[in-house]
Amino acid sequence: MDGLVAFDLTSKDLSPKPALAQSWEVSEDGLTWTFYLRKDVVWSDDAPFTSQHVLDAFHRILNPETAALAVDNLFVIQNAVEFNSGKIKNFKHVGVSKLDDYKIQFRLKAPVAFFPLIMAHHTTFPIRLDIIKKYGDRWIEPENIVTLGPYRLIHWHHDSRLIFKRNKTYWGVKPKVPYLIFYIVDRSSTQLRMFERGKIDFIKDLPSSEIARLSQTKEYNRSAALRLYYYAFKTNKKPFDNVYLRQALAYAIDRHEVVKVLGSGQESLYSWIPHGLTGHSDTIGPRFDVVKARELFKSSGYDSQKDPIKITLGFNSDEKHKRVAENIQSQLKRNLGLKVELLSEEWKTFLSGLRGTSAYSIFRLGWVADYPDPHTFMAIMKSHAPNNRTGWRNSRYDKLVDRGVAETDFKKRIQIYNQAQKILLQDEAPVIPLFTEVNQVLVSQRIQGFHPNRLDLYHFHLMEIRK
Amino acid sequence: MRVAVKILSYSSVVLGLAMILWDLSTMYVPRILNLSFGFCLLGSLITGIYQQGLALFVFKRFASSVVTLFVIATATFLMLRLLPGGPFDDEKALAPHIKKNIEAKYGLHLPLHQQYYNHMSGLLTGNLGYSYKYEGREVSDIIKDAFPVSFKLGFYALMLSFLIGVPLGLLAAARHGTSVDSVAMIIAISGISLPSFLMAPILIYIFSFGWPLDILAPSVHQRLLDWNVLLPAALWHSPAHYILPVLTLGVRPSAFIARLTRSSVLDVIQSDFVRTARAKGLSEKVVLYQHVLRNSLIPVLTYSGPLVAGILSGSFVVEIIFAIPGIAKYFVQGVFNRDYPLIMALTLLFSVMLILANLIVDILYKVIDPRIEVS
Repeated sequence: MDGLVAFDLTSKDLSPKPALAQSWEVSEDGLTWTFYLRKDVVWSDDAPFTSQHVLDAFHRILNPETAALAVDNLFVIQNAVEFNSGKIKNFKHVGVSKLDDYKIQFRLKAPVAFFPLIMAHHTTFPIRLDIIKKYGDRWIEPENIVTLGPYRLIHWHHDSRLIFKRNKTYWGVKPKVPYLIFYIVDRSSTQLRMFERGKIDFIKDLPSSEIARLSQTKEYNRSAALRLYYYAFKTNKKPFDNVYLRQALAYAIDRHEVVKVLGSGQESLYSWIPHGLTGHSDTIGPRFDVVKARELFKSSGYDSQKDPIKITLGFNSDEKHKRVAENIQSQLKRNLGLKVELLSEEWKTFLSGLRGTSAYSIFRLGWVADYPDPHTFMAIMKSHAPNNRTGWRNSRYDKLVDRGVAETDFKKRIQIYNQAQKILLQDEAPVIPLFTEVNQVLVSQRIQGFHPNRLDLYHFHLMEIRK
Repeated sequence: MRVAVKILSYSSVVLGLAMILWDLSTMYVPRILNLSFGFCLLGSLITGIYQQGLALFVFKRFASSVVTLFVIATATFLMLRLLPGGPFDDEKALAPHIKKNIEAKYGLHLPLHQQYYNHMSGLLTGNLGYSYKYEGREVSDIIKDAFPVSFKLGFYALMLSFLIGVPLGLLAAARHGTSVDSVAMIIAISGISLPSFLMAPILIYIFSFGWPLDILAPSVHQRLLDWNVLLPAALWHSPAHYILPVLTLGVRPSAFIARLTRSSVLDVIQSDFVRTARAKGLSEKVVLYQHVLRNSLIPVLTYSGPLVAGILSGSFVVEIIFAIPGIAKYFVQGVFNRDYPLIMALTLLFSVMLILANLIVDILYKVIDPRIEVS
């Protein structure tokens, strides 16, 4: 499937490129975006693609009855939240309107400089409401589905495999490979065996025990991912209501050591915005500094000798999380003399603990970018963001993040994010970024046109099989 | 009546064998064969039960099963709600109003007794609801797709375990105290002690990758590749895909059955009626097959009840390792995902299997040994 906009996977910054929309423009106040659609696009049932299908998509996904989970990115659009929460009943008041069959306009609540990136996310892709109405929940089955991407689904054995066939009526670059088969295989070691047996050409999620060996092979491809791994404090509870203590811990953790312990390609991270995004800086955030950490610990008023603090570190049961936690435990003992207890919980139990009933005062979490813009990371720590599970509130940080969204000047935007990250990581330290994950894939030597990228997105229609 | 039972049961055996052969060659069984087999099997069961005078017994068991299932459904419902964390908790937290939307969609905003009522009335009308995790898929569809796969895998593994286990046990008992006995029991013990997560990769490396030929004799290995005789390492697309998972799943129960058969046969061999049979001058073969074997199958049968239910509803380890699209992973992931409707349905499915298997075992007791009183 295609959206109005696509990510250019060959470009370094994954910039937006035209897809179903051939061009777009924004009004001077940055609030109104108009997208001009291609006129040569047809669906796989030969119906022409029009702006009505985009409008329908927004109507359906924002409809409270659809109960879509991943709609929050669309809340930048005027009245989108109100419609989604049922406060407004009439979709006409939402800031999406069809100007004519090939022109669609979005009105935003506040300027968003990277709005086209949101239009590349699959939540915004056009739909065929007539098909959905006709077939109900079965509209996604191969015998019913109507799409407009380079491939269309022709067979779907749930839990086993999907087969896609090249779409002859595709508007863009014609795919070279006639069929794609995706196998659903849960275990990474089974995937690897199938790859090594020559049965499949492409796998992601390599078994961590095999990475050292696989990284020596020609098939191995790796790219830094926009996936942040961090530790956070419960800042409204003792002992981490104490800002000096939080800072002391932030300075006391050597990220390189964590990454070395994991040994599967992660990149250590001190700033909140990961490598490769606007606003990332190697000089922001507390660097590893034992002397400074001990000083800060002293100013916190705690004393590890006389009155040992009880610190419990929570994470969800998983081999990797356990290894990170054990390393942090030993670093904090070594560098600050702290005794940290580890608490491993089943995933959903852990998540319900984050809502307030937990026994731990530090916990691990991660964040995956929805689009390649720093805002996706900055927004989660805003005071009332649902993903800010630390209890930390800061109105100055909120204001800076809001300013950052609207700023179109590249340099100014970096300055704003530098200030915001300084508050988040140095002055207040409710969170400690540890590292970014890596995307690791094995691609058979016979595949050409493969581009490893930070979003872990792969455009199979641009690949070729070498003869 | 007697003739009807005979005709129906023989034809269901024949049809069953035809189904197996058909499946083993094409991985597909024609619908007409399926239906006629079902008809014959059901017919022979009903007539057989009637003829053995077990109708009242079976009816009573059905009635008590309904109560059991009701209790199980209620207990599962309550226990699921006691688990911390809800179905829509994830790394990415939901805005409160989005959570409200989703709870309204699945009726989770209602008071608990209302949810319970909705759920139970849904069960009665055969509506199992929608999965929370696999969006837009009805639980009944998931079971319809995945259960036959697990059933088939389990069925072949069971066949294998009886076909290996019983003869092996019998052989060991007949040659009691000799080296044959020791070898058979060493095989059995190793079969029991080798867990499937270890067994599976070993089998895969040997039969799918051709180890150790790939290192020791590359030319032979290349020939194996050319002939395409190495087995697939995973998936479930053709009868060749059955072999390794069925082997992995079947080895443990067959080892168990071998040991059970052996000890039970040794027990029976020392009983008075066997001594009488021998004293009559019957040949050792006749004594063993006609007098001993039948009577020593009772413990094996007892073990089979739960074994059948367990193995037919899928083995998590084997299905995951071989990427088999069966039901087992839903048992595990359903709980981790807090997918309430899915877990409820699967628990009931498993209970029904267990109840049915035990019922059939009880009936077979009576067939094997008419002295046994079933009530």
